[in-house]
Amino acid sequence: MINDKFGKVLASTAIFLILNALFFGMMFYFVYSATNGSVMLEKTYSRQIALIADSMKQDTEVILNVAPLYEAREKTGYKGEIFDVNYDNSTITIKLTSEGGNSYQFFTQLDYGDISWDDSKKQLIIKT
Amino acid sequence: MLKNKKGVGGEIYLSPFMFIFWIIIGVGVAAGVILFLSGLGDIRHYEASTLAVRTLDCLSTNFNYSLLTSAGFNLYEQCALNPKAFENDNYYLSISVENTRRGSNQNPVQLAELGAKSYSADCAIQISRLLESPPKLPHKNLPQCSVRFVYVVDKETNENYIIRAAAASQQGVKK
Repeated sequence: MINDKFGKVLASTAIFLILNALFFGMMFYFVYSATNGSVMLEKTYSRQIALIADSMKQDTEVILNVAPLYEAREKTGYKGEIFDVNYDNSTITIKLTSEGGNSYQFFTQLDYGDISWDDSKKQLIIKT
Repeated sequence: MLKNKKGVGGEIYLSPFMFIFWIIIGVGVAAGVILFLSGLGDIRHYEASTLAVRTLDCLSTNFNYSLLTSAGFNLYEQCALNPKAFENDNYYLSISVENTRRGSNQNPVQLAELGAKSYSADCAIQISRLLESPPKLPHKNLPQCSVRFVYVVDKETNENYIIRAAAASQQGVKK
């Protein structure tokens, strides 16, 4: 009788602990994926590049390490280009998934080719 | 110890309240993360500041008042700004110049006003919030603004001027 009751308490305690571990595991995964996921990277880098392009003085060049974007693209399995620059509207788009992508506008007038990227070195080059 | 409780056998652990608590914690954490991350993406204040500083830097280099106030002056070309960026209410820029000499016309001359002109009034609200005692933070839904000044000397006439740039950004906010 005592053993039976003890077994019930033990089983429910085990279920309770497993459910707790699952719940907090899901919470940590949500926070991790929200802060390190492709959506966040697209958003961060599009803004960063736009702000750099706007802050640069004339006749300067900035080389930006964008290796995290290439690593994220490998994880998502996306085969297309990461960067897309629209020089008419001064807009940069970062795309790490086939259905995603984040665009941000800058106000500087850049000439065609002023923003380029080197896939082998995983670098983005901005010239003004 | 558990004997006197109603849920003998561990039911006290797996009560509906536990799931309600989990839902409350989950919703709270998710809302906190989303709020925190949306705040990280807001760079409007930096954009406004960059726009004002960059334009002042461009205009103060080899400053020539008569050239700036001539009919053919084009701020877009002079400071490498893209006109299309100012078409969709993302940005606002106002530039004015004032002669500091006593007895001169003290009214500032407006050189250019680009972008969403309605942001001028919004910037006045934002700046008045900062000047309150105690100062208030800028309103999040209104454009983020930056006002900068620079003193310059016209080398041709040897006159002193103040160039004032008021810039605002509202990019990424639903209008």
